[in-house]
Amino acid sequence: MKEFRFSSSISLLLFSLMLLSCDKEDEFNNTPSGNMEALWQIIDEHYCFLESKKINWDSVHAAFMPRAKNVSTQESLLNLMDEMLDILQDGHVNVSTSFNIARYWEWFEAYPENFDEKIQKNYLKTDYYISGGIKYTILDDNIGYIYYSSFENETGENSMDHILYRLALCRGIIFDIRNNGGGELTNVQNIAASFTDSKVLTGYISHKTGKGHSDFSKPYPKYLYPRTSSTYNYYKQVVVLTNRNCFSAANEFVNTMMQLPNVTIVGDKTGGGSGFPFSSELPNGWGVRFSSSLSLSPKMEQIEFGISPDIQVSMTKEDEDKGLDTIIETAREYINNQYLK
Amino acid sequence: MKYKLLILILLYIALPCKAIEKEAIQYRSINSSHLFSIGSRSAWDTYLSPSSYKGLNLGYIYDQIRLSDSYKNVSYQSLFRVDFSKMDNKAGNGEMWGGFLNYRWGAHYRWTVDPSLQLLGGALIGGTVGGLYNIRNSNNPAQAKINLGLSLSAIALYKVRIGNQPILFRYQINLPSIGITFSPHYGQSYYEIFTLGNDKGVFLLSSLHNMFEMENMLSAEIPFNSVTLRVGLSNTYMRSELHQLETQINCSSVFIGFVKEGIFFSGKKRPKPAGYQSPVY
Repeated sequence: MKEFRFSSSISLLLFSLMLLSCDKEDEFNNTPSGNMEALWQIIDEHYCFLESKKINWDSVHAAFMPRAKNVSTQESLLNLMDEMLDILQDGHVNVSTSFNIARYWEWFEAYPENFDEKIQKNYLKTDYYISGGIKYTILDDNIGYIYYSSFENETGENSMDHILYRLALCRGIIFDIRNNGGGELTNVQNIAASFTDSKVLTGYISHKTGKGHSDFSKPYPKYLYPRTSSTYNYYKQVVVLTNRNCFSAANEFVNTMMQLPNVTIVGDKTGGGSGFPFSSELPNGWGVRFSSSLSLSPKMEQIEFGISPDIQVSMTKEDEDKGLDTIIETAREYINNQYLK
Repeated sequence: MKYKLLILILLYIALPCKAIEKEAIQYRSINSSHLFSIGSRSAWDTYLSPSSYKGLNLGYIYDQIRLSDSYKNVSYQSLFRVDFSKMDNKAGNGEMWGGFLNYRWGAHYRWTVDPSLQLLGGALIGGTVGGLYNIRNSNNPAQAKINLGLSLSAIALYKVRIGNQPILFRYQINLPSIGITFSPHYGQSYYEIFTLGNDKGVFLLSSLHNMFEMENMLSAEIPFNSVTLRVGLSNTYMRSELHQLETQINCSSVFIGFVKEGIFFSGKKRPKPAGYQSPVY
């Protein structure tokens, strides 16, 4: 063996290892301007509705970036971001911080609520059942009433079997999703599959394929498949109740259910939210949420701004004073009329 | 027979036309290292975040080299690596986890430059399976990293003596060159791929045009009585641009472990006979 010499080749290898340890530097600094630029760029490169909403995002940059230089507090920075993002009119767009969340909620705050939990208790009473996050009962005129408050609540085939077994002899079912702000899309499929006996086209999904505002994939069809392992499905009249607070997955549920021949939508227009939200972040660590892929109806129409019901009806003051829910009463009347036909 | 054919193909790809002489040698040992690593990993993946993350990385490496029973100057290597890292963003309020399992197997042809220096060149097949997980992301929380393919590989073995202490310096570089890798499209969710079934184009050909990977290991092996200590530096680097999604993952670690070498017969180690030949010493 040779005596040790720190050869030039070993030095070269060590040097190459050191070079490789260089890490990726972030593009923007953690300053008010850097964070605003980062937010603007995330939306510019990833947000899926800039073109369909006809938003000139470059002019937004010109209008807001000079203002970022005058920002002195975290709260004023968040307010400026909030103001910029409001232009998108999208409930799926947020900036989350430890002290507040920048949000756009006009899609339901600017409209009548059309739902009253106290009045709903007159229908559910106290002896209702609960299964898989779903409350349900049978109303006096033998109509099943289901209330589902959030698609975050896990609802599987087993739960739907129990519910539909109890409601099997009802004249029809009212499926109330008012004030349902969305959740898991898998629950949309799990529930809606109980109401069809065939494969149904429910719409299309298209994701961004690049940074350009019009870079989209070819729309990919979405289908609802009937349940194969279930014991109980329901093919009689179903009325889905909606209000402006039906958003995101709830909006998708309405879009899915309205493709079925035995389903009628009653209530107010939904709040929309057809974008599939992704997460990102700013240099200061604030979380950003934005719509990344868009959902279209089977007719390739946008459902981002909501879905109109088959029967538009709002709760009336007169009915509310009597403890009645005008939308539930309309649905009951509709089902009874259909049953008697 | 099939695997021998494969080795020959790999060698002919990796090396210039070089005759591989067939020779039966009786006593060929197996050199195995069990190594534990600690270091830092940085990850930047635009599917998950525009910000880079950095943190602690812990890992285990198993490195085995043995000489071919049939071909003179040919050795086989199995290189297994598993590691886990917990990383934070620069602001300190975001957390990302990374876990990777890497296995490569292949063959090298060796040139003895002089009694103290051997150079090995060859090819390995295998790949990496793992991913990054950003705990606060909602519908894009994770990015799977699956790369399978062929790597060019080179090893330098350099024996020296410092005082009375013999030391073996070992350097290896692997360059994954061509293979198959997984990537969602730019704004595509895993829900669309796996629940709705739109998986067109998510597996694609990877080569230097869209992915650059390099694995470096530099170590010193120091025998102490019956134990051989192996200490060194390891670096794995990966940079890719697939479907306009950019990724850069860099992991630098120090490792320490021990080396076992011997001739094994039916699972039992045999004493070193005359004519014994080591794959590294």
